[in-house]
Amino acid sequence: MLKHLLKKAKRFTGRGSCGERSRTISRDINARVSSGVLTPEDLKSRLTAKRHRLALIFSAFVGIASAMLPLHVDAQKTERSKALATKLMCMCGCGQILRECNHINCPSSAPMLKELDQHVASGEADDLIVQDFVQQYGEKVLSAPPSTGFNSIAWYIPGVAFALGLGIVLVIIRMWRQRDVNRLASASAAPVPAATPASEVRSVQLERARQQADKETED
Amino acid sequence: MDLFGSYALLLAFALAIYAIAGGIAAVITRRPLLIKSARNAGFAVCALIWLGFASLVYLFFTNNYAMAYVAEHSNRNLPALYKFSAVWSGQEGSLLFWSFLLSIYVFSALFAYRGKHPELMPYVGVVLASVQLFFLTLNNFVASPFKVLALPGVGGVLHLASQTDGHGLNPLLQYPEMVIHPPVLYSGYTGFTIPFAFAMAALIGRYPGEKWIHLTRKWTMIAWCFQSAGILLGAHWAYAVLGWGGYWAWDPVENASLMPWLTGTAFLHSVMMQEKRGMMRVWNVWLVFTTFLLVIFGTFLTRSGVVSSVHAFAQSSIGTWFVGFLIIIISACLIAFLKNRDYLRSDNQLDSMISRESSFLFNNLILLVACVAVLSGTLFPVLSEAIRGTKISVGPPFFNRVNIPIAMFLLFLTGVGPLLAWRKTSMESLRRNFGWPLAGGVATAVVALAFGLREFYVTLCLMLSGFVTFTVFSEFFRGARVISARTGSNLFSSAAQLTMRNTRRYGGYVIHFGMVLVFIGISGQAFNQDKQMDMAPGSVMAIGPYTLHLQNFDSDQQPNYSSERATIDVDKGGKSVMMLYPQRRFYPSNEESGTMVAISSTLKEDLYVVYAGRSPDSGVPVIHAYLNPLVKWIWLGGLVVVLGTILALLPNRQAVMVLSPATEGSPVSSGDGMQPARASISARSQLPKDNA
Repeated sequence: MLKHLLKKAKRFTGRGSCGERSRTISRDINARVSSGVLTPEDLKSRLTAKRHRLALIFSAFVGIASAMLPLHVDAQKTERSKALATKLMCMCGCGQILRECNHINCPSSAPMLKELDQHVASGEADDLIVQDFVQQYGEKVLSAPPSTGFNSIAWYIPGVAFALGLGIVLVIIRMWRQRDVNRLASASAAPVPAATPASEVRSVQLERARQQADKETED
Repeated sequence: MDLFGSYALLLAFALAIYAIAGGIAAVITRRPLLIKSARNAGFAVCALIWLGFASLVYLFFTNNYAMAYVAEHSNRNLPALYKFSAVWSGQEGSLLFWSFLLSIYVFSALFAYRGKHPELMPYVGVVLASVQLFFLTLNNFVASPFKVLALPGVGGVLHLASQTDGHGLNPLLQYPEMVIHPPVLYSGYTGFTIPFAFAMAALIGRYPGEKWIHLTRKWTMIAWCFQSAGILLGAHWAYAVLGWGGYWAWDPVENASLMPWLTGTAFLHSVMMQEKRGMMRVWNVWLVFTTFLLVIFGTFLTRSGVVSSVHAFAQSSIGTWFVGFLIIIISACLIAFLKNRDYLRSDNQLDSMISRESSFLFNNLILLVACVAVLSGTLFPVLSEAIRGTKISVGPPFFNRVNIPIAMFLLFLTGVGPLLAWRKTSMESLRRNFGWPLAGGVATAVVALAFGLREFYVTLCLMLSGFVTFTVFSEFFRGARVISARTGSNLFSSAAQLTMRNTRRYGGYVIHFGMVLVFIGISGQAFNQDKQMDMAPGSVMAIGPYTLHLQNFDSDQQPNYSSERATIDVDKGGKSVMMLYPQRRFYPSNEESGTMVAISSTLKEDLYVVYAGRSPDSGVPVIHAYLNPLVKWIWLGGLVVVLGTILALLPNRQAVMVLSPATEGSPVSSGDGMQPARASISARSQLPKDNA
């Protein structure tokens, strides 16, 4: 009887039968039983109480876990719904995306959000859900034009504008540079007026340079 | 009295025609009396428009419901402040308000330059009067706010009628900010008419030199400042009133206000190249033209109903008039340009790719690409409908995806531009100038990453914000250190002296810093949270660090509206930190509802609570709470931008230039290639002097 109880005690401590700790516990129990401090009945009742406590903890854990599981799924569903609702427009004409439409008494956003939640709850893929809305409301329901077909033009325009602009800027820079070369060439080819004293030319050039420096540094 | 305003506007219309005809005759004949007469006609047009506007305000304040426009947009119980803002709440009144603000600019320009620039001003007067004539045509014949109320009687004959009370003002407009947002934004829109008029006049009249640029720079800055403030006030209004937790929805009307701002910003930068180097003349003239065209185009978008928007006025046939006007302006611009393009030849050339000039070129390119992206996104639904017969939506996901990279590049250039010298930047100068700003940017990114930020664009934005901030402060620091070394004053007072000596340059840096704050604020959007719950009294909602306890909800009756209000106790860390009272109002005069959002704003985040109404299922209040990080930075940034612009508009206090020998290795800002020489100017004997 005692051996059987000790086995149970070991099992409940969860440390197996060969660990140092379980041996210590066994020795301790044996000592207490042999010294009369702990009767086999006491030990049995204590083990039963412990078993009940563990069962309670286990059921609480299972309860919490089972409660958390649907919560987790629900939260994930909501996040998905939120993400999908940013891809769709509210169809009441307010021009807001579905997720942000707070238009008071809006006839569209509440039913659309409800429908979206139902799609998400049924486990449909995002693309299918969006496609379903497009079939129902037309392409206007998408908050951004798809990047295919005619609508892809909307996506290309900024890039093309940048490329064109960059091209123009580079052409302008090239023209300016070319002008610089031409100017230098014509300046070197031009005859220097013999009548003008060199000092006068220098002072005029210096004055121009001063004026330019003033202009450029006044900010 | 009812029709006094109508007569005043009619007379203004006739005089505007005279101002144009007289101005053209004055340009041709060069007779001084004719020039003066045309100018005086311009003054008279402005005065008559003011009388017309004052008359409409009077009709609102005297509750004259015999007038259709007053009856439609006001009611007896409307508070006085909103009676004033109701004047521009509808199509007709807002167009008259436009004319009114334009007339203030026109009067100021004609008055400021009376007797000056005789070669230029007659042309300017003609262009300004032409723009006024277009709006006066609308005010008189297309959308008059002075129509009397009439009802059909026996046999369909119309009889004059009067109501005892009006329909009231749209609830969305019954908010203090709506009293100032439209005037500020319209002041921006209308203000761009002045640089347009000067550019057109200089081009047609082949006005020599860059004088017109100097004359219009301040006008452009004033218009730009109003436009910036107007856009941000509009964003704040949308945030505080519309109750969707955001401030910018890429709505067509918002886009319409952003586009001229973008081209105006490009002009304010590239104009420096024309002033200093005589470059970019064609570009600048076209930037001014484009900005004005976008102003008119934006007005067309808002008022024609061609694109759907919550902000737009009711659909009307007025769009045709704007299209006609746009065609006339484009034609006039093209003809003037083609006839006089040789006048716009540049004087100078680009000396180096690594220079202030090239940074301005790229800055302009990026701003223009942003404008094209916004314009194409705004008009794409119309294009799609016209070509495929299918209307599509282009909403925030498109605009954010396209514009965020552009904005990042622009922020990068904001930091780079001031560090480059005019003409050419040496490698040594590059190393010296970029060291601290680059280190600052990298350090900011490292701190952001250490705090767990993993969003690519947010981290990039913060890194570039750090870079620009260090650029701005290093510019102030290096200049102030030189003055401090020479005068013995402390760094702060030296920085103040430095700023006041060159208000335009350092005001510009303050504006850059303001834009950094705006960018940081916008980056917070990546971390927005929101939660919606049906909350009975006693219910609790947790969002971020806050716990919201709904204590009760009650109703209230005011003369102009009835309201339902939730009382919410907000806890943070177990302590009650504030009470919030979000409301939902019902306005019986026009049978419309509106929300009054409760916002608790800190530098870290905004707790934004909306009473969204009662749940149809349970009848209990539906509370929608948002936690929006860093929003306050946007408004603070806007304030800094405005202050920077005011600073840049102030005249310089110029130092008397007493040259002393330059010290070796003088550590002066060399964002400007010529700066070391300027550093040697003694600042000891300084005399305040206006340098307007």
